[in-house]
Amino acid sequence: MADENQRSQTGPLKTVTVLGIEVVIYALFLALLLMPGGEILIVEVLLLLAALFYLRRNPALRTQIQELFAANARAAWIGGIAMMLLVPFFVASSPYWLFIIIIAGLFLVACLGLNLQLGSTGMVNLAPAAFYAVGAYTAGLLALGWGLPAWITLPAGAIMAGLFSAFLFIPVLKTTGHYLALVTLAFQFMVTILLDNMEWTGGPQGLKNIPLFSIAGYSFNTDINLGFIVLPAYANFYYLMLLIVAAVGIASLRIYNSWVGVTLSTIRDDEIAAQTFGVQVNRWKLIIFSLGNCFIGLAGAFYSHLVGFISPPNFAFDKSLVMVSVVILGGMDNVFGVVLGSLLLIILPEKLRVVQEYRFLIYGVVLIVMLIFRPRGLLPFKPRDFSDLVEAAKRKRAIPAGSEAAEGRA
Amino acid sequence: MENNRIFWTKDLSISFGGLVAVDHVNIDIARGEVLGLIGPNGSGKTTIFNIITGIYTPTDGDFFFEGESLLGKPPYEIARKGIARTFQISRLCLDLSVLDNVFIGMHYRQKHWLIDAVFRRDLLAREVSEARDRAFSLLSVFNKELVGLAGVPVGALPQIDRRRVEICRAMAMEPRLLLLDEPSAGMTLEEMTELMEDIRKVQEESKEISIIIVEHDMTVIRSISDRVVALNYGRKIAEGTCEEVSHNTEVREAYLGKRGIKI
Ligand SMILES: Nc1ncnc2c1ncn2[C@@H]1O[C@H](COP(=O)(O)OP(=O)(O)OP(=O)(O)O)[C@@H](O)[C@H]1O
Ligand SMILES: [Mg+2]
Repeated sequence: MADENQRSQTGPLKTVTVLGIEVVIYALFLALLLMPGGEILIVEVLLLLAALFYLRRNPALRTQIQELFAANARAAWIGGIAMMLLVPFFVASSPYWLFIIIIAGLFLVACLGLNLQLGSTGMVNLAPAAFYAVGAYTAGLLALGWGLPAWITLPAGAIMAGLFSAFLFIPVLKTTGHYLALVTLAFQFMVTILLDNMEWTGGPQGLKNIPLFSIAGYSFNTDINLGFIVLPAYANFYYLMLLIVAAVGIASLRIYNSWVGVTLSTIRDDEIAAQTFGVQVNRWKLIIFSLGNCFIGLAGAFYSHLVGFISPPNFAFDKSLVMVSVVILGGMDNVFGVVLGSLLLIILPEKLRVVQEYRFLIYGVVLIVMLIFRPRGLLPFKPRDFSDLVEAAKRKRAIPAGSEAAEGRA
Repeated sequence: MENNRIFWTKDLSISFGGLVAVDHVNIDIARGEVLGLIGPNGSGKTTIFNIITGIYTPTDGDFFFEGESLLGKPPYEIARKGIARTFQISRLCLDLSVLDNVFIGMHYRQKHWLIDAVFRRDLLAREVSEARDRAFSLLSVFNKELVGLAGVPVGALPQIDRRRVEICRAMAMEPRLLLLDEPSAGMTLEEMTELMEDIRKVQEESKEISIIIVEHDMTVIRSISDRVVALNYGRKIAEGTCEEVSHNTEVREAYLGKRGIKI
């Protein structure tokens, strides 16, 4: 049955349909960035709502689309990646939007870390921006003070954020309930106040003239001239960001789809049950809290080499709120949900420049509405399905059994 | 009997504030034995399970598993020694699939963790596929249909299947001592009969396993337990075969007026 279904969903026509859907979404996204004025936003929001409403009324169509994408996963991925790679070409004329997309990518990396903590394990971290600051200042200080290159400062920022969380939070992780949320909140304000008052971090002026990325003598601050088109310098950062997003995204997906994911979900849903089945809850919380903050620190380090100038307000509590909102809005414990959340909450507000002052009011309203109507986010947690993994393992075992029969059977 | 005993308690006591919930209780259980633990509501049965699994620390006394004191050990360590349990109020993770819930029972035997999960998917895949086969064979002992439902969130299953998944999760640990806390709670008579058969199957699967079962229903107790211990106000008031205990006057008085129980 399932097999038959699978077959009817493949074939050149189906592949074209999948790519077609992707192209339409992509085009709408680019139009949103490139068309001036707010009308396009209104049109697209209405389109989106109409589409959501229609899909809601037709669950059959929804499952059909899901199956279509599942059956043509490879084509869908290749198409998606190609489109990602082409973004700088389409927005070459407005580096500003490329910059915003890079920022969205950095938020995505940070929010994937936060999602590991908040979404997967249920640890409320209200200080992601503070760990972002740890990464950013570590990278900035190392680059300014010792002239260390980016390939050292990036991991250093990540590791420093991880170490901070390990040392500061060991005592807290043992407590249960809301202590962690409160302590992270205190940490958030402590970090902003310290950054404001310490000499060696530049005080309120922050760090200036942090060298931008350069790898093997190639400065990221140069435009890419391809002859037929000149990509703005931000394209360099964009591709590096894409690489990091891919690495962190794949790691997150793989963690979710493993024993670790099962363990974290159990800790989130019922700590007592987890302990009773042999889970070292405190150990896992520490590992995940640190790992999540490593991701956040990595994004922060990238940020300081992207903008070259960091100061305390960049890492204030409002940034933490945005990151928490991304995870809650997008979908707890769902990597794709976090992607969607970052796109919506970082890129849309830029389009809403007019209402900039009300930005946090809008965040607040969106969050409250979400918590009432879709408390699990736009793309909620999906039960894990290990069958792909198991099938892959079986196929792998079947091939050597055929070609090297003796060894395979033994 | 003495040498064969796998688990025993010595003057186990715990009090919450002024309330003595468990009062110098001595129980023991032999390898392969099924011990019924009965008593009116609030007599301390669940509390004893919580002490044995390390969730509560006793205020007095000690308890031993396979000759070793488990006093003060954290729950995860006690689990790893080979003690598994189910909960009176089900503690399954309702959003997670049936398979995930059973997998957590195999938690500490799994070898491929973070690094392998990210970088060595082939190793992880092999382990997952073995674990899945094992989970399927466990599930099919209780209900063949559960195998087909392995990817469904547990919350979507009927009560009886949830109990089965919970027992499977405990069995996945390959425990040597299994604690069942009112497995029949909220079930109809038919479901209860099925469940009793399930528990017998558990014994058949693994002859060595010892079971302590808390039950209010005497038919269940009578049909599966080898020996019965009765508690009242945290104290052990009777011990012996089902017949002996149910004819004990103190037990009869304890139950009188408490709950319309057939003895
Ligand atoms: N954490 C706790 N704090 C305070 N009192 C507790 C706690 N846990 C249990 N008790 C008390 O200890 C006593 C024994 O409770 P327990 O749950 O062990 O009873 P039980 O025999 O399992 O009853 P039931 O048949 O209703 O399940 C009760 O009076 C209960 O209120
Ligand atoms: Mg109880």
